[in-house]
Amino acid sequence: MRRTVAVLVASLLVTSACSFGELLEFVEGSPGGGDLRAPENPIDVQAAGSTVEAKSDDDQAKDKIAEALDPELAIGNKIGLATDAIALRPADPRYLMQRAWFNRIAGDDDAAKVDMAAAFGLAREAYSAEESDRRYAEFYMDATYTIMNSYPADSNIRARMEQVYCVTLFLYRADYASTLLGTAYIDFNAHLELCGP
Amino acid sequence: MRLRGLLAAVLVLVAAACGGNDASNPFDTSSTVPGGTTAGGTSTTAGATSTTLPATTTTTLDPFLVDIYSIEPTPPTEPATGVNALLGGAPDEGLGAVLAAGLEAEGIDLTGVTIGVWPIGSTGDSLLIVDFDETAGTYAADDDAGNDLLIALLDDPLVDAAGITRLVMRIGGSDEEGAYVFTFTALVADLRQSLATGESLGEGEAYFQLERVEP
Repeated sequence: MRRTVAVLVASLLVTSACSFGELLEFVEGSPGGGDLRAPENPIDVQAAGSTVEAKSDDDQAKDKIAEALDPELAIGNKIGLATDAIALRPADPRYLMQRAWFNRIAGDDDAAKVDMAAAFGLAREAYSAEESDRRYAEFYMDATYTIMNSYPADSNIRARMEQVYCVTLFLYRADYASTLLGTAYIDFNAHLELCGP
Repeated sequence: MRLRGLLAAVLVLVAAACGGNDASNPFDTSSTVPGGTTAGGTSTTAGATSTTLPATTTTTLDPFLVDIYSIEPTPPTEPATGVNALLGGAPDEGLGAVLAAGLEAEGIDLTGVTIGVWPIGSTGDSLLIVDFDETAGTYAADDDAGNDLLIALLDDPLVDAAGITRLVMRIGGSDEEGAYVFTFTALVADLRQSLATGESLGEGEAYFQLERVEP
């Protein structure tokens, strides 16, 4: 019986070679089979059933940001593309932070502050209080890194953003290096090479 | 937060001290220092009494350098709906990569397998998402491979640290009419129990869904 889950996994993969109709018959004939997003299911099951749609929206939002990173694009167009990304994923703090950066680069600090405050608010909605502060800092570092890399290595904007990145990373290490998740982020995702020892 | 504020102040001072005041200094810092050869501090001596008024230092920071925690979070003006309410926040691709690296370190073949973490809107919990594409042949050919992957994955302490409570497996496939995704989900606690005891998942503990997707 130890093989129960393994058999399940394997059968799922084997069944993926079946026709859609055969699979549908299997799903609808199984207890728990059907539309996971049905309102009678628990919230986490509905969320599990929505991951394909969410990923599709997120991929489209990422494409918008990738377009915005074109160095030849005017800053106003970059802001517009970030706005499109926000429309696709309105509860995702990352795209607000990216627009905040474009606004700051354009010199509109007030607009940047509004977006940063909204991003913080979304992080607070999506995570526990302790978790939201950590993720907020990670989003900020990731957004900073992504956007600064679209500027030439010898540019003033790149240099200034790199300093912001390093200050944020320094503070992040002070706060979270002693935690499991903080260490994981620092070891695998942070760009320590930019900031010296 | 006190430590953070102190460190921020120290960093600003270090940046100011190291950067100088030339035009290329990214922190654009100006200071007024008392005594010495510059004007600023005032000293008054009367008999044996000496009073030095405190110096004033004015620092102008680069507007790029923002204390992100000094910003007051603004709640969303409208509540999220639909998929944005269920899956707000952002997928933690970094944590997914860390979990995958842990599996690879244990010799588990991740060809065709992608791991991600996504917060469940407003619950504080997260989903652990394991995607299998059509190149994940190892798992179709060997029953134990799936077991080994799940045991190692659910044993990682990061799963609990990240508040992951539910596993989602998505298997991509296609037929003559196009692509589809088969989704299986169960609670992490139930899966751990099943893997530890060999007992099947009970009725209502596992959910399945099949949907057509854009290629």
